[in-house]
Amino acid sequence: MAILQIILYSSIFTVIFVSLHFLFLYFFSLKKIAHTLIPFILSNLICLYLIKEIELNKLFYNSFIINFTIFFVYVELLSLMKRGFTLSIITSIKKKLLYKELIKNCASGRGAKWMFLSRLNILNKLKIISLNKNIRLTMLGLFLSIILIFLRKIFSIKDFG
Amino acid sequence: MYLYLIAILLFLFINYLISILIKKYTYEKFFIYVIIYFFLTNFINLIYLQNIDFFTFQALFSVFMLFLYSGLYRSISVKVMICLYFKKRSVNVNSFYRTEFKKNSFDKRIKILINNGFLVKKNKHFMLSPRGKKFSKIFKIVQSIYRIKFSG
Repeated sequence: MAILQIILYSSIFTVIFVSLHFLFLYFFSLKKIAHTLIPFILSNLICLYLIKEIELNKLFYNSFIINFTIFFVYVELLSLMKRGFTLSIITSIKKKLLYKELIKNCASGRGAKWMFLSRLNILNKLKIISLNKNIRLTMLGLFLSIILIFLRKIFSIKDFG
Repeated sequence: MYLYLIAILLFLFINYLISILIKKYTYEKFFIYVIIYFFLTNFINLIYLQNIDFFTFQALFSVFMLFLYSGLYRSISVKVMICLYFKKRSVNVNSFYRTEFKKNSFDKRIKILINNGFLVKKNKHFMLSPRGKKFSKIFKIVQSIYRIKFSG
């Protein structure tokens, strides 16, 4: 019964959260993180208020974790829509293309190299690599790479997808 | 506390066993494994333990594992970092783009798209299959709803 109540609260949260996200997306010009983070906080507060009203605040902690999970999935899917490499290949093909044209047409005509360099620039901004004509890992990059290799070993990942 | 620790260790142990037993352990297979694991553990939980905290923990844990695995398996940035780590020296951007990105990432994705029936290759030309066209159309609508101009 309690699990059903949590699912119900989280469903209410999802409806409020998505509605608020669209509201912020269309009517407020804020930073990209704020577009999702503010609706997340607001919808949790609304849910907390609703739960308080019906004296079931014990469930709020569990409901909050589920809400956070939903938020996490939502943000990741948005990020995938924005940065998805495979998706950008599919959406950039409008007619028959040769291999060279396909490479040039990726990411709305920006090209595969632009996508590669945009990743490198982000890594450079985060001080994971140093970038000029050559690229090499910084100390932070070396440390993170070791963690990533260790995690790949834990998950038994042998190849790249 | 032990219950959570056992759940995590059991998850990793079964995953290790599956990766040995199955020839090509891809993200799709891992996804199916996580879903089955989530439902089975919660089925046992709801019948014997009836622990709500464990249910919420499992939900967060499963989602976190899926995205972590996805990042470790597919992310280009992760691939760049690991490649650079094994090279142990600085690498020219252009040669790295040609050898690692174009050959090992771009071409691989093209192959996956062809194998999954989204792309068709005819006489050196690439084009979207009817499935690919349908997917692209739906995806562009979703992108426009979220005000995303392009992906990449």
